[in-house]
Amino acid sequence: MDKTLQTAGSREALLEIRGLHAEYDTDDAVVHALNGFDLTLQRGEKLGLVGETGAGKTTMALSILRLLPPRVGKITQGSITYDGIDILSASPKEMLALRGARISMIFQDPMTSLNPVTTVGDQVLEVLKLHFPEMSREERDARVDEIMKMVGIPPSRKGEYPHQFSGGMKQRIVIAMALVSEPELLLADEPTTALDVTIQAQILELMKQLKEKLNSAMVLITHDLGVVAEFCDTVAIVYAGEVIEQGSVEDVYARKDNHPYTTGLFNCIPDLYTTADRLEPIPGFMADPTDLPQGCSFAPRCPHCTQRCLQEKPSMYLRGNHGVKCHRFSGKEVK
Amino acid sequence: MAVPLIETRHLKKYFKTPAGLLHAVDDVSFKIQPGETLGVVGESGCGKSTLGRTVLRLLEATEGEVLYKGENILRYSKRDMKKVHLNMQMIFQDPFTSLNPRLSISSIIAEPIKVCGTLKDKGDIQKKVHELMEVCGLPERYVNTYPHELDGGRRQRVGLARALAVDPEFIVCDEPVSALDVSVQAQILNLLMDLQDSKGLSYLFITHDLCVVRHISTNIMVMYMGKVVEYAPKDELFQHQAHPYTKALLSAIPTTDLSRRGRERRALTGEVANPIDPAPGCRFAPRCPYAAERCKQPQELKQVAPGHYAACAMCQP
Repeated sequence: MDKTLQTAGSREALLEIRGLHAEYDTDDAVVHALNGFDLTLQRGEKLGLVGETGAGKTTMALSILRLLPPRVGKITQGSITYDGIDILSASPKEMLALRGARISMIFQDPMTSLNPVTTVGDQVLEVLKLHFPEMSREERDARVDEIMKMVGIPPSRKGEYPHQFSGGMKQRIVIAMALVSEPELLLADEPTTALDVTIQAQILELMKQLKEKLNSAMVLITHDLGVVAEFCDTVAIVYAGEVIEQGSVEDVYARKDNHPYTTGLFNCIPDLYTTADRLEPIPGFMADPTDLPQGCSFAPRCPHCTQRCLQEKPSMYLRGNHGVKCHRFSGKEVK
Repeated sequence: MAVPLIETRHLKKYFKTPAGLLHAVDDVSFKIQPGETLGVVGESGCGKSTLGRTVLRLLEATEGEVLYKGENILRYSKRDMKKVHLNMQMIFQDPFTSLNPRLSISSIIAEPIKVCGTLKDKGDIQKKVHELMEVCGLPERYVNTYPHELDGGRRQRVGLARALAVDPEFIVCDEPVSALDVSVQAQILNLLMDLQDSKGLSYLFITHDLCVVRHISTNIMVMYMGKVVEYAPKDELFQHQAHPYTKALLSAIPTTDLSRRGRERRALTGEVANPIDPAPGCRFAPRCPYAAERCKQPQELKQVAPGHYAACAMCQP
C-alpha cells in the first residue's frame, strides 16, 4: 500500500482508512464504488470530502458505520481503524456502541431522515435513551432542551412533528440528533445541499459555532468547493472511489500543483467575483465504476495523459502534507 | 427600441388553497429582447417556476398580460396558442422525471415535431432528430436507447434537443443545471450559450444559483415571495446591489476564494414567511435588518440607476 501516506502523526489518528475497496453487486455488473480509499483523520480535524455524484463519498461514510446495504454492498479489501478499534471485524454489539454514540451521521436529505410519526423532541431523546440508559429522566430532558436551544429551535416546540417544520428547521433537528450524544466523530453527508443559500449560510454558521463548543472531528461530504473553503481545515478530493488529492485547505485552494481533476473542478465553477466568458468543463464523463481503466482512473479525461498514466496507477506523491495522485508529480516530492 | 420578444405586464398568479389565496407570482413585469437572457433568481417557493410556467401558459395567469412580439397571448385560443408554442419551449429542472421512460430518445425528440406537425415525412423527421442530437452533443448511438440508460447530463441534453425540435425563438429554462454535477453543469451552460449565439435564442433562465445566473444572463431579476425586489443588468447588479435581500443572497454564497473566508456575512435570520394572503407591505421586512415603520407600506419598484430597479424604502429614486 501507499507507504508515503503514513505521516508522523498517524499513530494518534482518530480514524484511519487504508486501501479500502467496496463494491455493490447488481444484476448486470459489479460496481466498484471504492478502489483503494485512504484517509487519515486526527482528533478535532474538520475534513472536507469533495467529489461528484458516484465518486464514492457516501459509500465511504456508510463503510465507516458498517451500514452498507446487506447482500448488495460489501467491503472486499482494506482496513478501517477507529481509535484502535478494527471496525471491519467489530461485533454487532461493538458497532451499536459506536454508532450514534461516538460516531454520528447527518444524512443528506432532512425531509426523509426524520420519523414522521414521532415528535421531534422524542427523536432527539431516543438517542440518549439508547446510548445513555444510566441517565435520569430529568437529566435527559435537560440535555434535549439544551441541544435544541443550541441549534436555534425553542424547546417549547419539541412536542411538534417534522411536518410542522420547514426544511432548514428539520435539518437543525437532524443536527441536534447527531450532536446530542457529543460524538467524537461527525459524518455530515451533504448537510446543506437540499437547502436554500440563505438557510445554508445559517446552518453553516451554526455548525461553525458548534465545532468550537464541541471539538468533535468532522468529515463534511459535499460537492461544493465553496462550502469546504468556508468551513474545513483540510480537504480530500475523491474521484472514482479514490482520494486523488489531499492537503490543507490553503495548499489545495492555492490552485498550484493540483491534480488535473481538481484543476478541472475549479475551472468549471462559475465564480461570483471573476467573469469568464466561457467555463472550461472537464471533457468526457465520469469514470464508469463497473469498468474502470487499468491505469489512472482520470487518464481518459486528462489533458496531461501519457502512456504511463494509461498503464500504471499513480501513488500518492507528497509535498509536505499536500498529496497528489498523479504521475506528473513523481520525483518532485518534498518532505 | 424594438418590440421585445417577450414582455409581461403586471402578471399575477394566485393559487386558491383552503387557507386562502397563495400569492405565487405577484405583479411581475419584464421585457426580453431577441438574443437576450433574463435570469430569475430566488429561493425555493419564491414563485420563479410558476412565473416560467405562466409565461408559457402551462398555468393560466390570474391577472396581467403576456406579450409575444407585442401581442397578448393570454387571449389566444388553443389553436392559436399551438402556433405560439412553436416559438416558445421549455426545459425542465429534473432530467430524471421530465422524460417519458417508455419512449426511446429519438421518439422523445421527435414528439414535439409530430405534435406541432412541422415536418410530415418520416425521413425528414429522422434527419432532424439526428441533426438535433448532434447539435446537443449526443452521440448517434443513443438514438434507440431509453432515458434510464443515460446519465443526468445526457438526459438534460435530450431535454434541450426536444425543446429545440420545433426551432423556437424563446426557451424557458427552469433550473436546467441544478440537478447536475459541476463538471457537467459547465458543459450544459456552454452548450446553452453556444446555441444562443448560433440561433439567436432568448432565454428566461430560472435558477437559485447566483453564480450560474451571473454567467449566463443579460439582465437579472431577483424575486422574493412572488414579488420582484430588484431588476438590473448583470454587471450593475453584482457591483451595486440596492436591495437588502440581494445583498444577503450574495453574501450567503460560499466562495472558493480564501481571501474572502473571514469576511463578515450578513447572515439572514428567520425564514421565508407564509405566502398565503401576505400583508400589503414589503414582504422581506420580517427578515430585513433595516426594517422600519415605513416598510409596512407597499413598495413599488423604483429606478435607482439607469436600467436598475429596486423595491425598497431605503432606495431613493
